[in-house]
Amino acid sequence: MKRIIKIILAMIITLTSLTSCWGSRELDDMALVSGLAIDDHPEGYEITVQIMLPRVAASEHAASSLAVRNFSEHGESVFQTIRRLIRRLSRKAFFSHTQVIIVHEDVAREKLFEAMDFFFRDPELRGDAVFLIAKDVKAKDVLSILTAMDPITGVSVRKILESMQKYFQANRDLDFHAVVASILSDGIDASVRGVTVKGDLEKAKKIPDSQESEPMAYIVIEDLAILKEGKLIGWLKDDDIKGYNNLIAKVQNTIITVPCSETNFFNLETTRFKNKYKVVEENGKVKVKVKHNVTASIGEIGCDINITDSKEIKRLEKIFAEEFVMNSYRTLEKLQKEFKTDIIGFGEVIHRQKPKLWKTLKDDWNKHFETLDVEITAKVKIDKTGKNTNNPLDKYLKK
Amino acid sequence: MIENTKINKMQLYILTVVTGTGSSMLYGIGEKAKQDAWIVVILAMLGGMVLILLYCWLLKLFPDATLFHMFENTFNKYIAKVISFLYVLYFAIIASHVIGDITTLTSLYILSETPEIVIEIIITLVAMYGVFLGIETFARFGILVFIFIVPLVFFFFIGPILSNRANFQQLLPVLENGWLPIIKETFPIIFTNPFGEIVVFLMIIPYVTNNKKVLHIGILSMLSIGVLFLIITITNIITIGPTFIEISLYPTIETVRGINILNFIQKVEGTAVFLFLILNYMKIMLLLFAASTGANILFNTKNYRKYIIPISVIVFVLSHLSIQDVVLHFFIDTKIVPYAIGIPFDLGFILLLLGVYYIKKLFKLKIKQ
Repeated sequence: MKRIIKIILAMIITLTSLTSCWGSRELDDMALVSGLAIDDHPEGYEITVQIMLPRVAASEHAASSLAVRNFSEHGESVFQTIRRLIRRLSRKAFFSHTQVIIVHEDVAREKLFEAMDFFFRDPELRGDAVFLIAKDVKAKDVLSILTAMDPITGVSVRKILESMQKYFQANRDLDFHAVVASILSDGIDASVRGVTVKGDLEKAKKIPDSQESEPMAYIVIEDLAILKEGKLIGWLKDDDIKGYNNLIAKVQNTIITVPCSETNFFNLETTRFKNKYKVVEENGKVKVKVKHNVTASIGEIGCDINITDSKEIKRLEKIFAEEFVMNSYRTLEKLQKEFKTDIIGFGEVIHRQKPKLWKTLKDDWNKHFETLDVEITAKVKIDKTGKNTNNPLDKYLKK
Repeated sequence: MIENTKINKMQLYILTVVTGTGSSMLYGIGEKAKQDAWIVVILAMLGGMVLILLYCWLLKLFPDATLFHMFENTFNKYIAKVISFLYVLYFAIIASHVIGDITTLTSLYILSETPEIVIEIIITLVAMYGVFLGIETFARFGILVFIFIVPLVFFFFIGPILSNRANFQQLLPVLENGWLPIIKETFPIIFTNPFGEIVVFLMIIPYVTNNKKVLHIGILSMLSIGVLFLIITITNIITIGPTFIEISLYPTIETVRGINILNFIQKVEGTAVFLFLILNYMKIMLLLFAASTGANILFNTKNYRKYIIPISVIVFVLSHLSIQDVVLHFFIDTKIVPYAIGIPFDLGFILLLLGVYYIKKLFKLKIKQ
């Protein structure tokens, strides 16, 4: 008898404590946030969350119905605003799956740190949400664009960015965690991608392009925002981003174009892009030597050239090497003279290679960066030419 | 007085390793040394080996005895009782710190709405039950845990590398600030978790079969703990960098959060929390066991199980008090515990023991066996 009581008691205790009901979060009660947008507002901040509507997002006919909904709220501080969202949402927002955080440039100019502390401190938010700065349009407008390919805008933006990283232009600080790391570091300043919307914004806010084959408005990721000590001070435009790309050397597979005549171009597709940095001290001054080591294959030939001739290949390699160096110098000069900010990380390079020297430089690094002597060289090796060798239409190409 | 349950040498090794890797893997060691924290780990490991040598020396002098027996034989009866009682309190305090740590961890990342006291009650109850079942039982459980942690630690190391988040350059420049910060960090650590708490090792020796020669097990377990720590520390440095390690409460969890292999294996921080939960469980159980056995010897009774409940209650209350104020808890853990508690109990009393023993021998005074 006693034994039976003990067994029953044990069962009751075990079963009741294993139901895990206390901290339970039903999926039905969670509003999964896929994107976060922070805009400026006279009261403080205006925050927009993009909630995924689960049943729709998973279904087959995603393009014909809304998969996401945006909710905005304004308030004096970030956390307060997010809490206020409870007024509108029937579920509590759950931030773990946030794909993208978009901050408007006005907020980035003045109060980025204050805005970011909440996201950094809350344990729910992982550090891997992609971080972007919205320009020319409000951040919430970026999130309101509905695309046909990926019904959830947050995921869509993230995917665009990730494929850009791999195949076009790589940014060094992609996700939120990396941006904060760069801001905190002495030897580098953060640089963040800009995002904007082109096309007719108002029309595109409705159900996505199911009626037309061309999107009415689309999200474009362009330009690079320069955050000096955590505050936005300017944008680096497309031409200069090439040089930035070279100096950072994160993207392996990108294209480089050189004009070969007035109207035509040679295009190379790089397959390997590695940089070597060396810090030397010459005459008491610091000098950083950067060497681009590029392996590439020929992508497109616009002019008449005999690829099977190794002398021509060498000539091509030289032309491209000069192009790389020229782009890098141009960007470097812009960074040194106009923005006076080191977003490439020369400071970190000096820190790693010559720590004692770095101790004298680190307090005022951006000032030292203005006058930093950098020598850039490049070596290009062309090892593949695509499927063909020479172009059979050669004789029709201009020289 | 000593029961007949026995554990063999491999279980002893595993028990020590699993206990030692408990709480510190979560917090990380040597943050002030920034990227040289791994050097701190290596030095602290060597320091721990010195401690092991000391303990094994004691074991040679007093074979098949627990620490409390050694006190009784060397010191005056009343002094021995007082010191033994202090040790019981020491084990209880460490156990309460560990329970407090797990509770904060769990309620921060997993069960945010459950009141912390409930988490503590459940943890304490389960630990009590484990201790009640005897050392052989939880030593075998330890084997399971061990089989778990070694691959997991390697996974936490390889994960960030495969996810392209590891940047080995963050280990440079080595010895940037010289040896001073490293040495400053090492000394407190040798005496707290994990390397110093191996003094608990001395309490379970009588339960081990063939416990004449345990030195090689001691050295081996110290080495294993050091290696596991080294891997975790290096992983933390290369993934999130020294700056973040300093400001994060739980750097290892932040590291694990970043693992995203091929967009397939991602969001695995639950595994990390689970790992630490289990590891700390072993630590709590061993400490409770040591405290109960110690109280058993102290009060000269037959069954250590009588003391499990009172000691657990004390531990529970202490842990609940310690998590009331996170900042104070942190301060106590880093500034006060190593010096005020670690050094006397891990080193001080041991040296005293050795000293008095040899002095007595020198004067040919009687030493009871």
